[in-house]
Amino acid sequence: MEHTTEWKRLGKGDLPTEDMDTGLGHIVPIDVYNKVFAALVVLTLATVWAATLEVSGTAHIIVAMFIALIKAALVYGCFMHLLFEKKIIWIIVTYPLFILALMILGTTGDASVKRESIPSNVEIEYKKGKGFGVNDEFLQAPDVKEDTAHSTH
Amino acid sequence: MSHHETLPAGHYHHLEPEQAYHSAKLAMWIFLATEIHLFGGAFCAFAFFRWRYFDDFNHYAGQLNWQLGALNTLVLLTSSWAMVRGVDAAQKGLNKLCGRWLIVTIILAFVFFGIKAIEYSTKLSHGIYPSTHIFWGLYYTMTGIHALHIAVGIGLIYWLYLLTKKERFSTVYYTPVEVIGLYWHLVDVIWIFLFPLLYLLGGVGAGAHH
Repeated sequence: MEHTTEWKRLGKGDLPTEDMDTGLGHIVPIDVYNKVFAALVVLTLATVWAATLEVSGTAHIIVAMFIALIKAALVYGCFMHLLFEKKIIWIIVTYPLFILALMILGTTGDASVKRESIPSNVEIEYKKGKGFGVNDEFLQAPDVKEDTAHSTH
Repeated sequence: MSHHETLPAGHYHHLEPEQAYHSAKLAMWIFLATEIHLFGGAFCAFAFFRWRYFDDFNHYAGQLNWQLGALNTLVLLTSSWAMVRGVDAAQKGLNKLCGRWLIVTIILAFVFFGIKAIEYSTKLSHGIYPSTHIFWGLYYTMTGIHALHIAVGIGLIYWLYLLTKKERFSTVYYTPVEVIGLYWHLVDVIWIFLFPLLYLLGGVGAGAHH
């Protein structure tokens, strides 16, 4: 590196202020931390309250995840100082979240498709009087299909 | 007052202090990205089985003690706040104050553990094991990996506390506090998602679907 940095050691009792540039991290006013903490507590209570509402299960998930995303954004932005970070940090933060979003969308889509096709097999198994454990229902379904193909002929 | 400083204690000798600080922080953010992938795998499994056994999940989620879950959420949020106050104190070179906030963080982490232990032992005594249902398998796995992170965090924060005792941090060197703070906040963020997903989505009280 070409440039040299002159380091000033601050004496005890000398506090750097918000706008003081030590070349290191950003110093956020304590008041902001306290307010964000209060907001996080309120949002936690809000998410519990929302769970008491008489709405569909899917609506519960959407509301709860929306509140959780706001809370996560507050922690990332303020407590983790992301709002004051460079572009490279933003890229490192958003990349895994993007991949995760893709994966969750993919698995969710997969689950909703399989949901259509499997219950019929389960029904057949149930009718045959085998009963089924919730745990192995999914894994056994393909075999059951072969079985019934046999028995119907 | 102002004079040329040699490298502040604790930084790597081959790096400038400022560069060392930013490198360490960059490394922690990259590690946190791998953490997202670790927990992301579990969240994907959860998403799949959540939709697959929608009603079962609502039913079993209702068996969890959401009051204890909510309490633990508040405990962990408070510990995160204590941690950030500790980082703030370290940034200002206030070792003693920083140490106090770190102790508060550690105490709250142990409170979290205590509540979690009550929950686990209650479930186990009712014969609810990871093998009982995929919901419980995911519950024990996800909260277990999360608890492991809390345990590691407690160790790291205690190490920071020992450093504050030695007056190691100053306005130009507080990298470990900030970097471990990042880790601690991520553990908090994970819980922010685990709490509603595991405890609340069956609905509670009047909104319960079971």
